Amino acid sequence: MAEEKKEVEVVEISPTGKAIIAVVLIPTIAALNYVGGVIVEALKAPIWGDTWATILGTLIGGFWVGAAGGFLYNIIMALTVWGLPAWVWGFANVAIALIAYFMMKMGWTDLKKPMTWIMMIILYGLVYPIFTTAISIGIFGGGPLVKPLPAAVYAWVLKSTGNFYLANYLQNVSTEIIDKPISFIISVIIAQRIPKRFILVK
Amino acid sequence: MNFLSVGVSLLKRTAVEADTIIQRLDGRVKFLYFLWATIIVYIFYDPILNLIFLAVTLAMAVYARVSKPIIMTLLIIVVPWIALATLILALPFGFPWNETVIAEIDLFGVKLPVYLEGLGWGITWPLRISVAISSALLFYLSTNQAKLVTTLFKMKVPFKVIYMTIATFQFIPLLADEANTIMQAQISRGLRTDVNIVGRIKNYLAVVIPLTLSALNKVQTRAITLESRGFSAPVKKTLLYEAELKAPDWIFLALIIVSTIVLAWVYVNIGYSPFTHLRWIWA
Repeated sequence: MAEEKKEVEVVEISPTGKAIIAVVLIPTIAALNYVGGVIVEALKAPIWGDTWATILGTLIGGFWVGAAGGFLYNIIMALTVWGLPAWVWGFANVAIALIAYFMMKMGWTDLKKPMTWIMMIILYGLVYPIFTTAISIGIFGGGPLVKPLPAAVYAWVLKSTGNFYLANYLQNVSTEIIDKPISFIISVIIAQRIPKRFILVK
Repeated sequence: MNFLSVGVSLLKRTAVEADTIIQRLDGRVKFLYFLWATIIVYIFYDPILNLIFLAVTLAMAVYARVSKPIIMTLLIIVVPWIALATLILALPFGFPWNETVIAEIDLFGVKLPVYLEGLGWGITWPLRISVAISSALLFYLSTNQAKLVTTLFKMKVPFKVIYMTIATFQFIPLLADEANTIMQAQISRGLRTDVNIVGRIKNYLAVVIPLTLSALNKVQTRAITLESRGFSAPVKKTLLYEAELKAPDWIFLALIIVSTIVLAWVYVNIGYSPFTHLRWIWA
């Protein structure tokens, strides 16, 4: 009698519940956001680099994990380096997670599809700055950013149009249209390389 | 040096252990001061009042021996901000609320008016943030992490949120060290840092991908450790320190209450800008 070939199914066993993994994943995301920003400064990369982990957290853990990790990062920064009012930037991280979740659900995470690029630029580059402009004017007075290019855009738009709100919006667009799509691309590339046992989202 | 580097050096620090009244104050009282000072400088619109709050907070920081990192943070974040904001907003570059000319400056032979509204805005807002940052750092740098847990627990913050907050403080220096090791390893195998913008983003990936994978690998170990310590067990949690308000805490709280009453009187009778009489330009 011929011996039947048994197919061996490899099942990844997760020894702990998803809830506890999420609890540990959230501070990891917050810390990665922080350290990501530090690496950007060290390498002088042309982005802020402190939100990609929020997107990554959303892609691997779902909306709540990404949003909580991003929000926690802002709370930590508000309680230490940025000052209390900066906690409201946590909502910007929630918006980033929401956009990432929406893009994931719509299937716009395949970097080979033109639609992914178009929606990434529209949602992160043009829609998201409306939100950040509202926060920067309402909480921080809406002055120029302490970076040469955005400050130059701000001064130029304010001088040519006299429109304070437009100057703030275009200043934000000038940074976000580069930073957030790059952060999204980085997160998608990393998410593709992550072992499946860490992917909590279905 | 930039403010994120300052951030790393700050978050690598644990609380400064000194035997002063500030360190002995209950964490809740210091946290309340942080919230109170920040809210007050936002209610008023006066750079002089902001400077008074900043001076009081820095005096406490000097006494508690935590002033150096606070001053360095303010120098790196706030001073350039004031310089840039006042330059753009106080000069005739289109700030829409500019009306009152208070001086003229000669810039390469061109006389430019300096406006009160833009100058006031450009100084007041960064000073508000200065007060928020310095009072937050005073709380953070003078309260050790075990006491911070107690403080948050007494403030009825859920235990999981307390863990996540404290864990973030612990992960940041660990990940920063690991990022440094990865960067050194990449440089030693030929990663060039003097490259164009696209190259810098590629370099970023070269550091961030191994860092993330390494961090995620540790997630499961940490999760198992937490479970083995009964993190999810439905039992009453115990604390390393017990928090109890003592005489210095009550005195500090009384000072906050008295100051609030005085400031409320000032707001009602003199206005939101008692020293500089700036116009509230949102109105």
